[in-house]
Amino acid sequence: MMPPSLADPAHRARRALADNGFMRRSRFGWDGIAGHKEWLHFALHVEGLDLLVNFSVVDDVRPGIRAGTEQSRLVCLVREKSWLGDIDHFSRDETRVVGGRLDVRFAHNFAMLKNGKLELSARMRDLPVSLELSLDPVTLPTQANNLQVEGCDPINWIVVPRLLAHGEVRIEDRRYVISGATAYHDHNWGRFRWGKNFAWEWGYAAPDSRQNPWTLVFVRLSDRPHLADLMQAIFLWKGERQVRLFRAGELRVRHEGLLRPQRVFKLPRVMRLVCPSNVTDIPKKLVVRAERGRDYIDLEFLPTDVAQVIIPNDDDLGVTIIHEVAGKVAVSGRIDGERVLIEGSSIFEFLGDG
Amino acid sequence: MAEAGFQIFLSRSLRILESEANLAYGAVAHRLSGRRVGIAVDGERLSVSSTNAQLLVERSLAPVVAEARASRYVLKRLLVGERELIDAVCADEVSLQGELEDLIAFYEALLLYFLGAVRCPSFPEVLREFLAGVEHAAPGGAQTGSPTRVGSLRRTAS
Repeated sequence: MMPPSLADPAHRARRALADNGFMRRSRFGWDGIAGHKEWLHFALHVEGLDLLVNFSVVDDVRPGIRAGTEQSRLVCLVREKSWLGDIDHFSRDETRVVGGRLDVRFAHNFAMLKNGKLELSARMRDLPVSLELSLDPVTLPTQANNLQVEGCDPINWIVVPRLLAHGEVRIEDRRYVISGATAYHDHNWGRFRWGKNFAWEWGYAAPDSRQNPWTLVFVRLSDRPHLADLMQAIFLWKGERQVRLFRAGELRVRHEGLLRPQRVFKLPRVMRLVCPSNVTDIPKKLVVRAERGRDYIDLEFLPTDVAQVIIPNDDDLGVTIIHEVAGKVAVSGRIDGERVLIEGSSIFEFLGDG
Repeated sequence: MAEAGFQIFLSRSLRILESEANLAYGAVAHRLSGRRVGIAVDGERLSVSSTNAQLLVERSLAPVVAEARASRYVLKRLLVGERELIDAVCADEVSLQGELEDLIAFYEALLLYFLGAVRCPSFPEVLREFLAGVEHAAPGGAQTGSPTRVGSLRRTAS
């Protein structure tokens, strides 16, 4: 049962998601400005299962293609004992995305807002994975507009780091009944270019226990070789409201050791031929200390497994690798004299070169 | 399914590469420039040659400077990421023949081909069709066909 302190705020969180989480959409079809990318990203954790789902639309700028055409992709990654996943592609006729609303449909798959809740449905074509989920936001969204990067347009980001999930996930003949599990959602858009001089690290910490009011998001944007930070921040929510933002020099980020996975799962799967290496620069442990005045947060992320989503660069033949890193996150700290403790499963992202 | 097999997949995918990832097509053609390489899949022997920035796929017995041989089953495992090329080579599931310099050129052209293929919105469907064909393929099959010129970097007005 939801604690009384979250009952009314949940309504506010639903309203805020409806007001802010809408699809921004491309202008390509009506004023010819191409290069828009936009995706809805979801993650969910229950005992024995990590799930990642991503609905993305990207302007199709091939010569001779009608302006306004998009490439639509559904990425699904699941991890039980090991990763399984695929990317499904959809034609223009199979794609319906409504601007100004959170309503994305790729053939039989959809992500849409209904009565303040995010309804997800997906059934992969060649992968025995399907899901039906209803995600009820617990936290208000935070929006970061105009994250400036070098050499291209900025990245826009809206994050709802904690939702309560209900529904089911099916993998082969296994059925996971989801009842109040912790889920994560974010939404990116913009005309940034893959391969330009940026990389990011981000992750979230949301407790398994519903009684625990704390939720955290860590984000760090750097140049591509990871030599200079462009921005870094820790966002902290208590209940539905964001109560602290630590930024810039208030954070100290440390990578300890290197994760040495025996085999890295890769999507698209054909990319194993091009990027066969199982060597990554993912740390064995990520440590973040944030401090301002008497307030502080200590975060430790312990990766256990990594999958790669390999994205072609927009302007050269190289690739950008998004490492989806499953692991355990632990947060401790003190805010306004109040103890902060979070322990849970998470998927952190680390961007790297191919 | 033999005729819906490897030659059709390779020819179609190179055409797609030429129209949707022309930079990669040019890079493949450049890397293979002046060479004829062979690919044999379950005995279906094809050659790919590059002349004047044009790639040509043929069923041919003409001499090649480098050749890779594999079964469709192994090819499928490579394409879906179940097997790594180096492991397949070490286990003799893929056999390579040729001078080192030519094999390196062949390998690098292959990488450029896939780096282009993943940029092509039409590639996943062609790959899917080929893999479905492999799934249902009977051993052997018809081995006839004519040369297929697969795209050109030199466009002419029409």
